[in-house]
Amino acid sequence: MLFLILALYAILVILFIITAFFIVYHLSKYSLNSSLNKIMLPIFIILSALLLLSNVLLFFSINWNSLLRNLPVSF
Amino acid sequence: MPDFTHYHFLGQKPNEKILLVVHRHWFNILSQFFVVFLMLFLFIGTYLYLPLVFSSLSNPINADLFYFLENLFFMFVWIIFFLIWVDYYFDVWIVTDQRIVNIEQKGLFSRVVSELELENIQDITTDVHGVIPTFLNYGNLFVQTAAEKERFIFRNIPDPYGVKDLVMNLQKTREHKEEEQFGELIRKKVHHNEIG
Repeated sequence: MLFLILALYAILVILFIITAFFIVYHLSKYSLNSSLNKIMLPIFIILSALLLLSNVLLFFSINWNSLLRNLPVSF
Repeated sequence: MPDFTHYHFLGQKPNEKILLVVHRHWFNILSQFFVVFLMLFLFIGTYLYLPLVFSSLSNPINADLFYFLENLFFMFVWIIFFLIWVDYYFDVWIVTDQRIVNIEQKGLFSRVVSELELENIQDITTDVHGVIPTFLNYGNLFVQTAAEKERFIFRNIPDPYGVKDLVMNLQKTREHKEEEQFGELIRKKVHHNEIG
């Protein structure tokens, strides 16, 4: 069960990284306004990285074994 | 007239000057952002009120899970917000002194770029339809070309009448310039024949 949760979480993280990568790609390659680009790119990259980092930390801070043991339905 | 010296697009010619960059009207993106605002409202609401309603969330194990899920939800909202913004910001019409370029962005993986030379313009029509578009002055602009049957459409742009005037003036200036060049060429030819 723990493996399944970890696998699902890994898929979510990968999807987030891929989507963020393509947003950065569009912003850097197709942006018309260079001055707006200089503001938007750092904001997006820094905040996305912080969000991802905090999410990974929160995921690993959860006591999954204890949580799964207390589940009303056992798998 | 706004300054577009900081603007540059892929495929821009060296001597080409950007005169106008038009995005869809802000009301159009506002209606799309409404979903994001709802999700943000849900995020803040659950963050503030769920721990008050469910006492089991004070348990450290459940609290960790709760904060993790809230963070995950916010990440989702963040990405949705930027996906909508990218779709809006890169969906653009560029009017230069030589042509009109339409860049149509649909999501992250569909981008269509089409262009129209000013001298190929035959007819321009504006369409402001409905209460809100009339009040906020936004609508569609149809540019009929000489060569193609298909029309070039500016969708939900602010001040379509102003854009129409600008494009028509540019087209007239271009046409006048071409006529002058042609006249000059004929004058030279006639002069050359007279001497000969």
